[in-house]
Amino acid sequence: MSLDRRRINGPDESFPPVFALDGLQGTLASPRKDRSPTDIRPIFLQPGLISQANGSAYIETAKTKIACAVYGPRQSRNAAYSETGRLNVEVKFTPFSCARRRAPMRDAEDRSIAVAIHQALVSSVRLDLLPKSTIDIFITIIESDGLDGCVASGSVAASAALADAGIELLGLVTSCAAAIVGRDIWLDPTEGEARFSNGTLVLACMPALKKITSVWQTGEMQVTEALGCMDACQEKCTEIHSVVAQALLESPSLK
Amino acid sequence: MASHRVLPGQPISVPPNAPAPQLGGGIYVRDSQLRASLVGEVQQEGPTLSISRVRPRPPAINSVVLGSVTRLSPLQATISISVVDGVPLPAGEEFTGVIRSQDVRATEKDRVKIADSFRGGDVVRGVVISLGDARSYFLTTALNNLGVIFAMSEAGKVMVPVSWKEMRCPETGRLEKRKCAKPE
Amino acid sequence: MASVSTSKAEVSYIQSGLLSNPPLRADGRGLYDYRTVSLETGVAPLANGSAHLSIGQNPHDGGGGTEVLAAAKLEVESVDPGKGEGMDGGRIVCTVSCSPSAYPHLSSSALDDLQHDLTTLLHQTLAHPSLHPSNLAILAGKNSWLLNLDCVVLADAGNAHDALFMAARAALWDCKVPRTRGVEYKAAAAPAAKVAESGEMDVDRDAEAQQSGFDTRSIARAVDFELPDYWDEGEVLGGRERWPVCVTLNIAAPPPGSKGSLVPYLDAIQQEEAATPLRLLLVFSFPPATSARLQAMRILGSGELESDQIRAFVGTGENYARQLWDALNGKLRDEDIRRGQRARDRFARR
Repeated sequence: MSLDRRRINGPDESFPPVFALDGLQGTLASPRKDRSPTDIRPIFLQPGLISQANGSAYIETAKTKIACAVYGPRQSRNAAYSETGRLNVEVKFTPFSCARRRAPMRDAEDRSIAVAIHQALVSSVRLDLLPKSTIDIFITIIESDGLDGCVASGSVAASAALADAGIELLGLVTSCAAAIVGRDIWLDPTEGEARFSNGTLVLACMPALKKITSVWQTGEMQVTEALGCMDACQEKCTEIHSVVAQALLESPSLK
Repeated sequence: MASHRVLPGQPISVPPNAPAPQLGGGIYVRDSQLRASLVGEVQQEGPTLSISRVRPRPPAINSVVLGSVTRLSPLQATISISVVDGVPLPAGEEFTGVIRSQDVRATEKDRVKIADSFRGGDVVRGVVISLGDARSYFLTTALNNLGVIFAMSEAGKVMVPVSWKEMRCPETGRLEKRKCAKPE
Repeated sequence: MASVSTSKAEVSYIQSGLLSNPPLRADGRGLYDYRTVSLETGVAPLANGSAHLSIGQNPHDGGGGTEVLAAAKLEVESVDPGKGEGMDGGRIVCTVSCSPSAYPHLSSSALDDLQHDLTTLLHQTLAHPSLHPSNLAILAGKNSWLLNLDCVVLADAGNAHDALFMAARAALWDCKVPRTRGVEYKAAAAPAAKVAESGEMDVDRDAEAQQSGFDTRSIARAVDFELPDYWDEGEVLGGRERWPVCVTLNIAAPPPGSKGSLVPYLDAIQQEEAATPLRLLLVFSFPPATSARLQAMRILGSGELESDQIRAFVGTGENYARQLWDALNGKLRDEDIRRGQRARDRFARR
């Protein structure tokens, strides 16, 4: 590269400034500022908002906003004969759901969330009553605050939507996330909290039957920590269950 | 039975010394405990407990279905099922059914001609006899009250049934062959 | 997981065998016995680390087992935020591909989904910051290594998850990071030292005090790097003994309505997987001198568990994971010795 010695040369390289985002700084406020470690964010749940779907639900927990629609049961197309029904979960992020824009195309994260939600729900639906049929669940993540929160809230919304659609269920599924921060269990972590945690765990269960349908743990945890997270989540799931029950009992679309 | 709303998974209590109830829709048994599987109110009709939700559902064996004829072949008629047990399905979510020639009527099964029983566009009432194969449900019209319930003549008028195998066009007076359902 | 078409009769035969007392399995194994696992590292000469693992291969003709090939390949990547996704300190990307010949009964879209699910599981577990190796950085703020871990499932005769994690662990254990030496311009260094004497020297002194005489990579002013020649291919990944192993507890449930407890068993063959849809996946790491770490736990398939049952299964899983871990470590050390000897010989002959 030729240098012009008569001038004051700028640096070879330059970098755009990187702004620290809220809650994504290198350190985390510890202890939690706005709620206690065992508190979850308030939940707003409304079944039956999408009128053209067989069943639907909208859930909002602080920054996480998810809409869910259930179609079917309808005849399985291009699938082999099966005695039990199939549950098909599809998750879409809106392009503006995250800090960085998401191209409106199916990407890896969509499917992994869909798989996790499918796992949470599949044991709760009485698929043996629906031979040759498919239930389609479409989940739109309007705003996201961490993957774990999306999986948990998405499962709750989808289960409420299934109940709204009049599909026979063994029980309502509720789900709660937890993270290990330091040595503590923080329930319902935000994106920033999950990022700086050692590990996260999402548990889905049917509180009415006291059965766990899904555990989704990533990151590093001691066995006792993982089991502690599960117990804490299960306890919270019972509380979330009463929120879902309230929403379904009061829902005008079911009257 | 108190009539209040129950949620999926909620235990349903029965009087301890009452005879075991029969299970209708929306209720299941797990570990000898009755539980609801639908949101709704528990209803009792005689010995049967059920929770009913009027929702579109896929055909099951013995469902009475209505559908229109979409395709004919010498061996079978293809039906697009649009009503199951009196509940219409949402548009675009029809199920496919098939009436094979041996299922058209109960007698003289080997002489059935599909072309003399159905025409494209006819509305047919049938009963599901089998879940069939991957593609379609198998239906039968081999009962008096099953068969074509609505058909248009070649002249484009709604025909009236005159016997169990003929319909008449009110305009031209011509007879067309159908496997008619007994009018209710 | 892959579902072969298994008739109801087969399903109930397998289930009642597992649930009977004593339990019976088609190949005569106990509930917690693995099939023969064979492992070879360094099978891909162009990769930085590789392994070929098979479970339950027929000893006579080498067929009929689960076979996984894993290879780690390093790439230099720019850390510049404007160019790609490079991160200071390097990053790991895991990919799993499934050979269509391993799953002839799956349609191509189902195969894609399966690949994708395995990829997600492997990536989320191995690329988690808690397992990140310490020596993937090259020049702070400039370059780092991108570790691509690619696994290929060549054949699936059941228990692909455990095979995948074992193969991944072996390939990562085997992976050698080339040594790099930072190159700096000496002329620029002298005036900088002078400036430091007059002004804000504290900062610079501290930085200099931290620099080790051996580790040339930490020199902040280095602008480029070179690869010195040495007899081996580089140093092993930092913290390579922490890469986890996976045990899949397949859970046979008694038929609905009958009393009986769940029966967990290990290393299912494909028919057994089809007959018992519920699985508990446990990924453990056993760092020396501390308690076991769970790196992932998943429930897969339809079925329900109670929290006490999970508690018991995690205990069982930990026990068998440790046995698997010890056996795998022993084998990997043997492989290291064998390969190290071969590499030294080859270098001497040059």
